[in-house]
Amino acid sequence: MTNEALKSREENNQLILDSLIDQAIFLLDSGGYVLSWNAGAEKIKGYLQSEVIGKSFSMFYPVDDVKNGKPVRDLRIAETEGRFEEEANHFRKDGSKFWASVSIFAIRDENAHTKAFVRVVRDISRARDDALALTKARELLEARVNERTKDLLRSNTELEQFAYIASHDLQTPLRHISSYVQLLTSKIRKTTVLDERTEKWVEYILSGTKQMKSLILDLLTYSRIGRVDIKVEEIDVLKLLAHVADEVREPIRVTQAKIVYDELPMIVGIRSQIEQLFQNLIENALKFKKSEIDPLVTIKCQDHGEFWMFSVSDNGIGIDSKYFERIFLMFHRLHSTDEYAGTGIGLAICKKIVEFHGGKIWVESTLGEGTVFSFILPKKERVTLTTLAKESMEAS
Amino acid sequence: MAHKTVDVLLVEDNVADADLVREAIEGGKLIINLNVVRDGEEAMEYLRAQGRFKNATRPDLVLLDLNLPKKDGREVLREVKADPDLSSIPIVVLTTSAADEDILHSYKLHANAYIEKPVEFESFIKIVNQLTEFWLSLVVLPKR
Repeated sequence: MTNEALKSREENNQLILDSLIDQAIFLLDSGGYVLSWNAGAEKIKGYLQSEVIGKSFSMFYPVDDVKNGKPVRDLRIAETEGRFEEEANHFRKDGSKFWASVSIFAIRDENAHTKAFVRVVRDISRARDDALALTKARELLEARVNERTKDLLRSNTELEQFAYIASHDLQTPLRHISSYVQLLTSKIRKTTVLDERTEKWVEYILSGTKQMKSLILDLLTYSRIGRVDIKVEEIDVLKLLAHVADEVREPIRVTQAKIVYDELPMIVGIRSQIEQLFQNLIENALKFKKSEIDPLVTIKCQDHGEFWMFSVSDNGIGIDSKYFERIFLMFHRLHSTDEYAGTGIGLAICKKIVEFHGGKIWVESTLGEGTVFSFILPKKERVTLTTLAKESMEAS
Repeated sequence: MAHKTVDVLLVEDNVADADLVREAIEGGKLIINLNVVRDGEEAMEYLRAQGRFKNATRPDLVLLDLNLPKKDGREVLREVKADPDLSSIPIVVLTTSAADEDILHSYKLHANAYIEKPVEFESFIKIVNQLTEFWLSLVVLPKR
């Protein structure tokens, strides 16, 4: 190569080196003395070229490291393995510390002897600070989430106490009204014959108190879903339905109902809620039967990949399609209380249970022919509570 | 068959509930002398025949509500059953609470029986009558 070509190559190399302004790249001889310096080295380490050329590179190490022989060790590692890499604290000329990423590469000659080293130092304090800040922010966030969860659990407990006491304390005066009306009428009947109209009035009062009691209990049930009893387990639906049929055996006997089901799977969920779900649907099917026809309730299940799809169908009076959405709302009834007893919360409870399990419920029906309630339940537990909340509740 | 007067002490703070017990008892077969006190302190005074209950007769049976003002029913139960003079008096807890802890706690404190006040009136009458017939007619009680 001509001298000019050589000179221009050297200039080019220097241009390249100086453009890498965020990296200190310099040569060391085999003894660790500085042979070259680049603009990046000036910037990162704070030394001018004139201050470092010919000096030992151990000047960049902390005093203790030098005493321990670290610089020499690092070079030896580079020599034997070809490269040395580490992240450590390094010092600038003004004494300030920075977190550095250091690499030392050995340059070997034709005989594989190390004749020089290339040392590359990068200032990664920013990256490290960012990482630390991120960790801190995450810890702060988790602490806040834990606080909020604790608050939520506390207010859940308060809510449960409130709900229990409210329902309890509301039932006492109800009991008094009911009992004393009966005592009153007994007393009056001893001396006076009550006519049909008056007897009807008494009946209105008593059924009013019964209705209120049902409402209070149903509201308590509704408010409890998702707050109390959240133990998720495997449920054998066949066994569960046998249990439900037992709970509902009086209405079944009275209406001469038949409940039919074939193969039903094992599912994952909260047992008491799933029981309540099926019980409400079956009770409804029995309640809204056609007057002259014995109810037939059919329960089926289809495998839908990630979901089980259940259907509870009956041969009852059916529901007008314009009410398909409304019936799942609280207190929405399609019939008066003297036609059909009930509080109007049953289906709202069903909906809350299904949705709490991560599923959906809907209805199809033809007026005068029958109704099908369908709901999907995810096969894998998808109960909507954070793990922390669940753990805390299970622990208490 | 009971030929002498039978004395029952009812410890109940709610007047309406107390009168219901009275109604139920008066409609029953036994002739019962029913005395009512309103809180735990009065209950202890009555049982010890102290203060304004100086002339109180020792009851054959105590019907005790748990939730009472001043001294609550659980305290009364504990005190009575710990007192060698009074511990032989049968105490039946008659309360609205259905809580498992209350039931267990009461039996642990040596309540003779625990009854949950039913909400249905007819059931209430039936229970009170069954209660009194059992404790005051069927079983043999210690002489006073």
